[in-house]
Amino acid sequence: MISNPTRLMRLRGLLTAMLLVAGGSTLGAHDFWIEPRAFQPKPGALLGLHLMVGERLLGDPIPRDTAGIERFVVTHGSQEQPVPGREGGDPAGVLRVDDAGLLIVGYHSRPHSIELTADKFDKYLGEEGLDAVQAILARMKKRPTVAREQFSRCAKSLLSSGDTSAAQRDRALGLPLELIAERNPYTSAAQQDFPVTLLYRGTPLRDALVIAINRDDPEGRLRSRTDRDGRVSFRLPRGGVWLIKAVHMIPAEAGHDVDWESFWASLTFELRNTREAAGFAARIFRSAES
Amino acid sequence: MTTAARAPGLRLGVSTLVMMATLATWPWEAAAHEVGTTAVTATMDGRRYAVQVTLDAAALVAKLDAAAGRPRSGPLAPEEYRRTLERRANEFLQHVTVLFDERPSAPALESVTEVATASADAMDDWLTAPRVCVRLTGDVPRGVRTFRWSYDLTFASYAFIVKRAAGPVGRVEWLEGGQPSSPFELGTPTLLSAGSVRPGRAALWSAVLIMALAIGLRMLPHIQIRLRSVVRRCQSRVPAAPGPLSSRSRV
Repeated sequence: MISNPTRLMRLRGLLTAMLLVAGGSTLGAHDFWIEPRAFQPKPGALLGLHLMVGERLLGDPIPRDTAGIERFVVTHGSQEQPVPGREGGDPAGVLRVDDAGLLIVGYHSRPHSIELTADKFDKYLGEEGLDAVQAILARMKKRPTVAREQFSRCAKSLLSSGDTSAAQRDRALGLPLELIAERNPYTSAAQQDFPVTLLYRGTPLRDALVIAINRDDPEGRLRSRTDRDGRVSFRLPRGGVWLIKAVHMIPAEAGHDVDWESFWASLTFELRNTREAAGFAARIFRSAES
Repeated sequence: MTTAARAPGLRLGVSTLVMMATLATWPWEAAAHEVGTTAVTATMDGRRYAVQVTLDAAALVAKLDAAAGRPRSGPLAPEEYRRTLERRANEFLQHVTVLFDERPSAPALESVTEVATASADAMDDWLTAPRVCVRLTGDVPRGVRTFRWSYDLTFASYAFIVKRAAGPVGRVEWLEGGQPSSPFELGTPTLLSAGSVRPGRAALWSAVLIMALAIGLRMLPHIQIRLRSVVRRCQSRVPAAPGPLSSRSRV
């Protein structure tokens, strides 16, 4: 029993310091996504696009760093334009919504390097379902104590302005790892099937873990593995902002300074709560067409 | 001194050595995540210190909501972010650690101010991100040597600047969420000073020895001069013998 207040203070100090040391290296698998200030802006609006890093759709904005951007574009119909922004600014991108319809924003970062301790690396392989990498490591006679990795971000966001139709859909932008929604989320609703395809270098990626997270219920995440066509289908239980994500990792090519190369795909969008709402939107669109 | 009396000081010394060795050999990751928009500046001003944390207000409110298990707040007006964060000062302080000589110190939240956006687009709510500066203050305990900082509500790397109020530009360090800064030397502490950090008996004896040694070294030249003069005086009482020095020394 510790009765002396000075000793208690010293012990508390030591414990706090040790906790700081132990909890300090919190580097691990953080998600990356595009978060517009509004997913459904009005036509003609100026809109900020935040690049976010974090977990469970809770994160920190990343300022624009031109040197770190491989590609930052927005497509509307068949037109593709670069997303402008102020260097070092947050939001990293600024978008003028000229016309109604579905907008696809794509971001591909230049690779970052990171070094992780073996136990942290293992933990993150487990979290992201990277079984193939775990199998390679299990076959090694002697594992390196540090995993040297190079990662790049492949983020997409679907926005809708004004009326939109089910015919307007997401499409491949040519990101190294890319999630493609097969349905327009703005003409869909919660409790409907929402199929997604995962492409790696333009080819369907099979047996990859895809995770769907809702901003209002981040703990109730949905997980499913892609089939041979790189497809996975979620029945999203509620409306609101969704993040769908997947990670792919391969051994780095010989001659690189790293052991592993990873690609982090994400897709954000907003889903309506009920079928009635989606039906109402579709009816408005049809009446506008007629 | 009994063994029981020596034990706490000995244990503290050993623990400090172990901790320093652990810190020195801890396998920090060599590289980090993307750099975020959070910036922290700590200023040491004699007996007081201040820490300014500048960050994205919406992101901070969302993290505090999540940490407290509340539903996530929707977008707020800039002044509403400030008021919300003032109300949740205690929640914010739980994610901040200030250490002086590895002992925790509890800062107080002095103010939350809105940070003006320099951009010309600042008028458009959909373009700008609301930012706030949270200012924490506290007392520097007497006699302490080092200061360390940690903040765990960020997923991105952030710049941590620590400086003396009167000094030049301070030290810059890149930190991850939850990662403690390396110790910042506060300068030579006052020996045997009274205050929140009481020196142990071993420290007192060390101080006495150091002072005795310092005084001794300081006095040594005077003692030497004094000794020489005493020797000369003694020699002057002996009758001087003619002849060279060698023959005189034989006397």
